[in-house]
Amino acid sequence: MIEMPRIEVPFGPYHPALGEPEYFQVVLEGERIVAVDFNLGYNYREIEKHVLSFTWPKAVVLLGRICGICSSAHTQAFTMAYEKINMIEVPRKARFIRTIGAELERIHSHLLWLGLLGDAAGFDTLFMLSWAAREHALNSLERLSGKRIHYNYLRYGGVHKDLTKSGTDFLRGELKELKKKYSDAYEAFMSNEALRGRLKGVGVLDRDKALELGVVGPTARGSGIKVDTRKDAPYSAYDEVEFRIPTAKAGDAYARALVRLEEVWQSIHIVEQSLSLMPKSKLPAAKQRYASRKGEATQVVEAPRGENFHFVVADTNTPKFIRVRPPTFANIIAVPHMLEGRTMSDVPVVISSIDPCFACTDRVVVVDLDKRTVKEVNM
Amino acid sequence: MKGKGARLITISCDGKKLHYHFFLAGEVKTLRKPVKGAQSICSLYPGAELYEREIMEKFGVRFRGHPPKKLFT
Repeated sequence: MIEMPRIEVPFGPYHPALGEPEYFQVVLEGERIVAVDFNLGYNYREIEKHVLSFTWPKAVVLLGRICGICSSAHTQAFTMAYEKINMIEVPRKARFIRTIGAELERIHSHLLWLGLLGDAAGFDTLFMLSWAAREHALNSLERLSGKRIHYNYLRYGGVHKDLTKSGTDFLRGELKELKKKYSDAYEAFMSNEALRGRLKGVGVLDRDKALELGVVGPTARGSGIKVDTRKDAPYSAYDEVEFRIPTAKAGDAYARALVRLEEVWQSIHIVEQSLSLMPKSKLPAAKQRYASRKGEATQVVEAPRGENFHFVVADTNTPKFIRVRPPTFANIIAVPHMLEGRTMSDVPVVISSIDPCFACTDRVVVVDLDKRTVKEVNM
Repeated sequence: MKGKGARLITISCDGKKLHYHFFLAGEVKTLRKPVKGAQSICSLYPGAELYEREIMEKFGVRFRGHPPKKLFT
């Protein structure tokens, strides 16, 4: 047998097939990938430290800026941790508005991912269809919060404005359009044999390995693990609405895609239920709070990519310590396992199949999984 | 914790203490250990590798038994 030389191929930090700056080092033997290392930190902004000098009303704004896509998940986790420390009861209507915001965010995040997947696979019809549907989720978020992204609509103890009857009607209309357009995108994905062939069997993460690594969100659910914070530790109004957690057994990129596609339907279902279950009474805007009791609290919420965790230690005027564990930080460790034995062309597909968000994840870390290929990377 | 079927969420470090956050039976449980003499839990939870690595690089904490890797400095 001919022994193939080992080749180290850098993938990133700036690469046409990688949306955000991150460095992956792929070690090849011939065509086959034998090891993958990755290096995080190209997007690092040290928000956890920076926020400690911010007053409480400002802190929640900054934490929403951790990520442009899961802005609601971060502010929600942080706000709820503050509410736990100060024992603040959130009005029922505000809890429903938070649920609607979180689910609209999930819809727009999954549709963004679906569009990018279509684009990366050269299937631009899917890209156009899914982003057309996403537009309605963004319109709804704009009506709900005032902004299309970085919707800073949460206040300690509630939300910053009420959702009136005209707002509810607008959201219903947008959802109707969204459903119609999403059906087309869904159909385009499901009926495309080429796309299925590209994703099936690629980047397999079996159930045992997924449990061992502690992956979360659609990455875990695609490997048959029924883990979802919305059901496991219900918050906001998730205990009042009905929905199911889609799972798939195969553990490959296609299974993860199917889970996300089904989740969009479930999220639409949750928003519809919330709109009808929400109390009709007027909700006064929550007043701004500038002080806190001293104490600490943890909070987990289900972001579009999985479980998002915040650990907050409060001082009177500012946070004293904050720890954020975004879902991609838990999922990225699975990428080398998914890629082992595959070819170079599978790298973008597998990385995008966990729907990574490096803006959330980044911190100064180097992981070298193969000792023989340890290499120092200068930033 | 592993025996009870708890899932490790993450490890936090405030410079003095390590906070191990686990998800168990619908709740987040936190265990606290001093930074001094920290032991790696990578053999129990392989997913802890990144969390320990982050703390090693941010706070200079040494975890005994952590898989030998090159520090990014």
